[in-house]
Amino acid sequence: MYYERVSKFLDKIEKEDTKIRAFIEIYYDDALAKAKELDKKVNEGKKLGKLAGKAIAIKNNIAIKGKLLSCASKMLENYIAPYNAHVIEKINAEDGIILGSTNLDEFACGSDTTNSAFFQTRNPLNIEYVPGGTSGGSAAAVAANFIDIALGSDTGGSIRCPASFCGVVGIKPTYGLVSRYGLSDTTMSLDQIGPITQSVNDAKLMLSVIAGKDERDQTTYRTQKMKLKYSGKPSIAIVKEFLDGADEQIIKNFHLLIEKLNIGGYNIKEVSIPTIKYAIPIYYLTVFAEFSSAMQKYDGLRYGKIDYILENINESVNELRGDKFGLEVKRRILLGTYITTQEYQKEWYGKTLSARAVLKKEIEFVLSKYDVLLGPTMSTLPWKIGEKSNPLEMYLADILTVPANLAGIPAGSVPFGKVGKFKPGIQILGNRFGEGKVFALMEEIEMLEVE
Amino acid sequence: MEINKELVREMGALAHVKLSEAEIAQLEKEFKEIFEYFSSIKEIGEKGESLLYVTGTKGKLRADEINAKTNDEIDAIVENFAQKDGRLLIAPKLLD
Repeated sequence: MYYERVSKFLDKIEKEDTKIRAFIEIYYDDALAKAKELDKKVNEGKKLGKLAGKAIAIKNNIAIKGKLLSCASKMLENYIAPYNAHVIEKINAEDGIILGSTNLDEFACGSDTTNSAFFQTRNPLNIEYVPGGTSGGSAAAVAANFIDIALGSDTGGSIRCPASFCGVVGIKPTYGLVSRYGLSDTTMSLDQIGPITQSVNDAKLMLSVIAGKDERDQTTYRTQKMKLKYSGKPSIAIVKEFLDGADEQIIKNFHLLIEKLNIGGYNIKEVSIPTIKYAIPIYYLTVFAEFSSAMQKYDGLRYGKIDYILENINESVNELRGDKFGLEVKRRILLGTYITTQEYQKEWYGKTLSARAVLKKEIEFVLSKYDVLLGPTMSTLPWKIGEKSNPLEMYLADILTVPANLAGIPAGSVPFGKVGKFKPGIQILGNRFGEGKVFALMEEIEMLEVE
Repeated sequence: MEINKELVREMGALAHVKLSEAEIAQLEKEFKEIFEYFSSIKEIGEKGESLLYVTGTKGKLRADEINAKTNDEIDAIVENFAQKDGRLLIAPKLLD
């Protein structure tokens, strides 16, 4: 039974992924072997895990033992993961079936998956448009019904942006809830792994599997801290700044939702978090500093089987990194190098750390009075492939998603309404380990009918 | 500090990233734009604490013990080396 189900998914991927290009690799043999193993367990009357039979895809910056771990970069185009990430161990233990690895922006640098060094992933809702990023392949695979659940990673919106653009569900969990062991790090103070799914229920299921303490990631907590169940109507704060500068269609769709929630008897108030207007500089300066440091390990010696020709190590490394890294990766490495030099460290990185503390406090203050914050996930609809190329313009697209990462709080995106072919995401932010209330409102919005 | 081609070149050298002249010209232009926009961060009050721990708690130290890898794990790591001699990694010369 699982064998047939997985075969159907694989057939669909083989036929249709030539158009969408969500996958970097498809694991035909492993997926079918795992399905067979599950069928055998069923026949023998053995108990199956929580994810039994679920078809799963993994963003290709998460390690699966023996498989290519490319981060969509030429630097790692031959790199084979020597071990499983914590989340992969958990999925395997709960009988999930991994069908393949998905495309992303190189080293998770971007907002629309155009920075993959390999190929462009397209939006299944309209293939002329970007799927969002950086977990664009994961969201596209879910939206195209190639799989049930994908894993993405989210540093400043990389789960929620593509979920919103592709009309599916995604959640960035509380910082410290899911172990990053085996995730290629980009910004350790912001990165989290989370699910992208067809339904809120599947997101809950996957999060309950991957969450929890792991000795190999010292930021993780025990799962008991997270309460997934919540019955009641969370009190809602609409952050005024979340609507500043958003597209008219996005605002209209959001107001339609508010009307529905008002009818549903929710307590909704408008609030202001003034420092959000600085969220983009705070976020990107944090990223540049941590990212340039995280990328130092890529010297071509330990990762990626790259042959050296030059005799001199400095020249070799400079040449190799210049050749193998894409422009956005180089841009961030250089900017990070600049703001952390002794000369400019205080002026830029030091300032960023204190500004982040101010923003985090403001968000926490509002969340001490309300259960959740509500707004659109993205301030725009997806753009056409190739339409955006200016880096600053691309950075600014992340304005609504970065605050959750800076504050270390959970944020989910759930589609609501319809604008043309697209189903824009609504974003719900909660208190640390407040996933239960976030999911409760996501489920409510998921069930709302739109005429 | 003025953003110019010389600064971009210097950062490239510090970061060990070789850049073409075309890339340097493009990055100079983009960095000016980015830093102009990002300088708004300086409007936020001067004093205040720095956010050094996202969770508010410092990391705990593990026991000081060797976490032995199996031979298979070691082989898998060695397999990714660009050039090797048995289990030794071959690197370009550091000193003449």
